[in-house]
Amino acid sequence: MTVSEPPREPEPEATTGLSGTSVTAGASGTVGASGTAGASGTAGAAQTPVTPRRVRMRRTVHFGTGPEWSLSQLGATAAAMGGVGIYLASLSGAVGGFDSLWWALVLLPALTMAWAGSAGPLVYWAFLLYGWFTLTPAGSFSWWSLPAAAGCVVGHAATALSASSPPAGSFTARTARRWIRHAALAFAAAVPVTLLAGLLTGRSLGLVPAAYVIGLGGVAVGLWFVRTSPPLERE
Amino acid sequence: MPPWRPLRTATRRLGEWEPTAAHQRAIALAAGGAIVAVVGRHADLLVIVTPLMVAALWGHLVRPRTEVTGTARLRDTTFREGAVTGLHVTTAPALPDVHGIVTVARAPWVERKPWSGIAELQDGAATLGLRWTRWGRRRIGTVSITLVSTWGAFRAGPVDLPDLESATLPVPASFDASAPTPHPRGIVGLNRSNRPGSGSEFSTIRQFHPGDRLRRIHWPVSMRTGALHVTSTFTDEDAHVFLLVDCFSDVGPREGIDGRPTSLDVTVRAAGAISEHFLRSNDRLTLRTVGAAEVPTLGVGSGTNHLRRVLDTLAAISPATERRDTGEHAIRGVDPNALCLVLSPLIEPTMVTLAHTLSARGMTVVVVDTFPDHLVEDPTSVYQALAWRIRLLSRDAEVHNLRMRGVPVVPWRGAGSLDQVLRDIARRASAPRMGRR
Repeated sequence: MTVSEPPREPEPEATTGLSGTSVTAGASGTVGASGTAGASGTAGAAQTPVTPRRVRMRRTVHFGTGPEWSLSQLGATAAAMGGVGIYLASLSGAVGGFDSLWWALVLLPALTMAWAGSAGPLVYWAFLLYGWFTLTPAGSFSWWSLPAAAGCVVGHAATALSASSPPAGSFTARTARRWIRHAALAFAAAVPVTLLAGLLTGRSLGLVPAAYVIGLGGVAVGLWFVRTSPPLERE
Repeated sequence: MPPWRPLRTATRRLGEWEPTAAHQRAIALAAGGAIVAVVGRHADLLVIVTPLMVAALWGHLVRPRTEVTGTARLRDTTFREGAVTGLHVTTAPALPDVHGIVTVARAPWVERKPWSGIAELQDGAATLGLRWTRWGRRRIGTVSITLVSTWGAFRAGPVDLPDLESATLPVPASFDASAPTPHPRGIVGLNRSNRPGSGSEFSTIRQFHPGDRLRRIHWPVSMRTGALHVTSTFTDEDAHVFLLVDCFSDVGPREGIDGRPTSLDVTVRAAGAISEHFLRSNDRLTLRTVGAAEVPTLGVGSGTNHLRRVLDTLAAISPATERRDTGEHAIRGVDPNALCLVLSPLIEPTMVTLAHTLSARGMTVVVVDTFPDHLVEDPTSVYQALAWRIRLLSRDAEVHNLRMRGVPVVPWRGAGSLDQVLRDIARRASAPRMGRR
């Protein structure tokens, strides 16, 4: 692994001088610069150097001969690993422990880091959910499902955020805060479902067949609602 | 040849919004998990996939429905070496809660800031810094825009915008000359002539003639003699400078403005510096190139606008793109009274021949040697330095022949490089000479 330190870059709203040309960072929050070219108006126009004020180092990491990874991307991958870790810890709590080999699944987000925008995360999350399905007995309910939901949404959000930017791209704090806020709101939806499931566990309401129909109907309506590319009708 | 018009603004539609793998993952896991939870009576599994359901529905409900257009704009299309400017990228309309990424591909002699060339759009706008590190006309790296909606559910792009272009003018080396330019002939320059007239150089005090300006009256002498006397001056004249630039050779490692110069770097920057000096002195200047294809022909001119044209022409040079150029076209129709400055590292025999030809025509020729010294003094490559020393031995013979013909060869050293040789030429012009009968 190699950590490279690129040339220093101006901080947003910073002003620095480069070869006698004034440089002002844009207000976009990204590192930007706008300057005056000496020859834009008259050739050899006078240029005023400006003393640098603040600079920020952007570090990237090389794994062998692979692409450069920004620390933001590595942070997103670490968050995805944390999500899987929380999920596995919850599963362990729900089933009363399992083989230590399962803990190796924490590494899956790191192994699929370069393919965050592919079907890889779908495969391993499907595998993790299948593990919950097989390891917990049918008809049971565990309060550990609430932290597992948190791990699931954190893992999903971190992977989606990672896929939205190239490996060397960084995220601003504003973007990170927005994603955290969205993930927290999505997780909040799991709380009433957990309370409802906890209240109804062990009670026979006599509505089991109707609940099946209503639940599956809701899933079908949801799928119809979020369809994006309806198949073309045959002519 | 049509004038070069660099592209300053590039606009392109980003296309339709397509669902991403993240959105499909959320739908598949939520739907599959919910079905399995209901059928398999796993209420806790339903709890786990509830946030994914929310993410899928949320991402779908707030998906952008408008087509977005991306625009990249350079602040200017002409820069100096080492100059920094902003590349402004905007998307219209600026959609809320949309995560946008701008990437600028790597391009030679264009430094990107941030150096990864990746910036995040904030409120539909981003600014990246670009720094040009070598003179020439070039395209900046391809600008690509990608937009991702809430929860990374839908994506527009990545779309490559049409390439932007710019011209990087050489930074003229520091140059100044205190010696007068030989053979002044015009009427608008700063060179002193031997003819009385309107100017700034004092000539004598003489009696007032009708037509003399009142502000020229010399009152002390007038009061003393009782008759009006005026201060007379020598007229100021401009000279014609002819620059012949050798584009055959670009010797040495190309390291840009921050590194060691190549021979063509030295040549072009020296030509820029000499042009700037003489054009600011109101002299006329002609620039011709030898060995470069598609360089526009530049006529005689003076003033700041002509300096801009000269630097534009220098930026258009591509080294050694016309190997068969004999230079005959370049030296055709040159003013016989012009001061000919041949800028060359004297590696290509054609340039030596051209200097001989101009000298044989009776013109005042000065060869400015732009061979970079670091090639011979490079301690990292002993054999290459040795090879260059051997090559320079044969070059010395050609330089000696030029000197024997009366053509001075002066190494380019920046400010004051030409002072001594121009003074010698002025002295030689005023010295008595033997005429042939």
